[in-house]
Amino acid sequence: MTAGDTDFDRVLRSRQKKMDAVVNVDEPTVKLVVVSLGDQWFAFHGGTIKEILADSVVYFLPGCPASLEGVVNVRGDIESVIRLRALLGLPEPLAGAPSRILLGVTSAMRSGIRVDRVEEVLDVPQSAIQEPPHTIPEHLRPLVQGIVAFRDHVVPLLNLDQLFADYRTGLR
Amino acid sequence: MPATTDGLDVVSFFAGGFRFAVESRHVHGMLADRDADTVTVEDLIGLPLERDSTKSHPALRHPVSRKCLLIGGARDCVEVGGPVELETLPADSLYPLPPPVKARMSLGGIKGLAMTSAGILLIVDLAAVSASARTSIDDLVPPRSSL
Repeated sequence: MTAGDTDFDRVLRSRQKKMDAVVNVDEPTVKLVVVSLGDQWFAFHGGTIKEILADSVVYFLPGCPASLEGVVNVRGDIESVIRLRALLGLPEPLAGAPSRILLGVTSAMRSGIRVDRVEEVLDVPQSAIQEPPHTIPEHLRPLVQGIVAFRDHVVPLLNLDQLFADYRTGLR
Repeated sequence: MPATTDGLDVVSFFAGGFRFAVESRHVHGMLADRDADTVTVEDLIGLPLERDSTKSHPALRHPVSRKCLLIGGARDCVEVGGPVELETLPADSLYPLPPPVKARMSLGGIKGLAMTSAGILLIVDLAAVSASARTSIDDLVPPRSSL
């Protein structure tokens, strides 16, 4: 207590201490960006998704694999756009189907990532992320860090670092 | 004048239905007809040849005419698709290839790209690709003394 404190100050300080105590016992949370490709849902760590881009013109480049859609101008910077469906071995959607581009950033690489929809950006308790089950398809296992249950979906949490690393080396 | 801080002087052309540009300092002339040693730019960089690129690039309004550019110190004759134009690309339109593109692009000699109001141009180092191709061919031909 300091000289000049009013009851108001003391009440505020007491309330702040209680709030701090609550924060201290809170379980750490993880921000996830949940996306869908058709009826399959996937998630990325929020820290690896810099932004969800507004509709942009994607410029096709010759000599690139089908998984590399082209490049896009993001406020004066040029970013590549890769198709998540192709990277995960899923068939391409019908032409003209709505989609979005996420800007993914890891320590090794940054790129736009084409997805069908962004379902949600949410915070989940760390304990909600569980070990991936053995039923995950073989080709996805190196990419899946865990799974999280969300809106009646079992959502694989994808390791964007691994995905990008595989992409650069031609593994995907 | 090869380059300034304001821009890059290039000769632009079409290949395989896409727009490319080579630094103008590497271009020593242009011929209307090909000679026996002429190679196509598509062969040099590994792009499928498309004679009628009006189908794939909206900027083209007439059938492609082919020209030969004299490239590099050896004046290699490289056939490209017209229209062939001399232009200056503003510095702020020039970009390096994004790393995923650089890692996965199969075309040879692509140094970067320019984004202009007319679309994308791929900047290609034809002098280096041409010199490299010539060296490869020379390696295949045994020296006269061994014939």
